[in-house]
Amino acid sequence: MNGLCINNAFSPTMIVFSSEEKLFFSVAENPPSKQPNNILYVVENMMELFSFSPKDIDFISVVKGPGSFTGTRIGVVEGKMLAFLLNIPLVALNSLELIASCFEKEVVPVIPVGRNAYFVSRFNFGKRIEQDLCINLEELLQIEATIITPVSSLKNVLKEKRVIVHIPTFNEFAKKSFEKFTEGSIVDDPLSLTPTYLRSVNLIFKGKK
Amino acid sequence: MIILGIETSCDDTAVAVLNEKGKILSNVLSSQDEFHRDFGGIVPEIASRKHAELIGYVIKEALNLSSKTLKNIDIVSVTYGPGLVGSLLVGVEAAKAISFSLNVPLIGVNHLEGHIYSLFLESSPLCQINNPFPLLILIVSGGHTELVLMKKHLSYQLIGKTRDDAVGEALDKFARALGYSYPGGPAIEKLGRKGDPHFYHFPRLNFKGSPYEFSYSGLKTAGIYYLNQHKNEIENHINDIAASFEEASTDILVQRTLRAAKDFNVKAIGVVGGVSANKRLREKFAKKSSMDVYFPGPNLSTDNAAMIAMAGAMRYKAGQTSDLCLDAVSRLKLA
Ligand SMILES: [Zn+2]
Repeated sequence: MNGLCINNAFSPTMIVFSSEEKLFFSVAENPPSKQPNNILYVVENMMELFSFSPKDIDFISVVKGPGSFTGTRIGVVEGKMLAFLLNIPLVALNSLELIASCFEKEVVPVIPVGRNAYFVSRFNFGKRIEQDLCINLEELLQIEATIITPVSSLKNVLKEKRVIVHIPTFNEFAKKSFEKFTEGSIVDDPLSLTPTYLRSVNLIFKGKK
Repeated sequence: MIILGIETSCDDTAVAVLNEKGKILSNVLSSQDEFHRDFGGIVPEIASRKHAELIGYVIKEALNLSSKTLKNIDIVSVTYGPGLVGSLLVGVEAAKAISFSLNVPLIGVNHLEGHIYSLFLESSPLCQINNPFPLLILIVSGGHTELVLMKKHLSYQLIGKTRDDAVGEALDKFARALGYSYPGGPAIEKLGRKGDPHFYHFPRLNFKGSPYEFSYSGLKTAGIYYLNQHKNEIENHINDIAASFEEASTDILVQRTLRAAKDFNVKAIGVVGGVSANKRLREKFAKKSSMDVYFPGPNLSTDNAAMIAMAGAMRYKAGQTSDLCLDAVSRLKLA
């Protein structure tokens, strides 16, 4: 069983192609400003380099957010289209769950999103104990528990707090993907998958007006 | 050869299936109008969210209606600009996934080139003509007002465009001032049909030394100014006012186009884009032009994916394909 795992919801963009035993190839990209939408170009070239073809992919795992709107959307569209086109199962990972799954204790994963907005949740030994929320800095500062974030600059913002900067490793990403796949957490109809946005367009629109 | 076309440059999710002769096997369009109406225009974030939600289903539907399957697709063609970048990206990524998974060539198409090739679909009379070049194209929509000269296929020379607003934009804004919701062009046309186009003379600006340039900002302002000054007349003369505004908008288009057609000694004229569906515009060209003027077939004036598939097929025949690096370019130029 080989899984192609794609994260484009938060930086860095990660592409992992792996079986349960062996990681065949992995790529991380952290483009400075440009939209990171060359994922399929990278996948095609890496597969060719390692003598794989799309037929060798047994399932797709994609991070469905919350995270960057555009980035997540690109990842989700690619993930669901690949699963549909290749007629293989689709696994959708929550970004906060993925980050928390790397820690065996109670943690609050945080992804900062633009001006004074933070996606947060709470997990204990990888098990969800709170719903995902979008909160402001004031609310974030009131949180007790270890904060885990892939964004190092958050450390400066939360000086007093216990913050661990951690980007899931390729192995952790693959492991979580296989775990979901094996337990049968598969999207019923791949085409139905939409990103987890957390913020409604009405709110964003009013904020800009 | 079966071509799958994808168009998501604005607010419609569109997918079409075409055969090598340019025959439309299916042409599916999922409109988002209802989601944007409350905002009085297109909200880019809503548009891209809807595209991401719908794209797979629209592709599936287009295949079903064409009685083709994924295995039958030989080429995938997609709009990569100009347009809303967040919207374009959804179509581009879906097309790249098709190209990668099915191992078929990917072709990135300019949206305006797509509109031009709506004239070359199998159903259109223009493709019955052996060599229609040089051909003058007027592109008219909510985002564009341009005159393009084609000396051969896939070759474009921009000879004039709007200095400010597009004609469709002016029609939309005027309709809104009259109390009609987005999209306003069809509302103006409907009202105007029952009105007197000579009720009021709105200005038709000309530019000295730039005979092929357009400006619609002035007309729009004059229109809104008129409405503010004549509030009492609106109720009784709404049809006449709409007809007069439509008359001015279309007069400018016809005058510039016929001038350019004469100066560049073209063989024929093609009028494409959303506003090319306007009946008054079509009548006026028929009446005033001494040469043949071609328009897209029914429902092919507004954004659709059949035209993108057609342009993609032409590019493929010319040996021009894209790779999986294809990126959305919001301000992509035709020429
Ligand atoms: Zn258009």
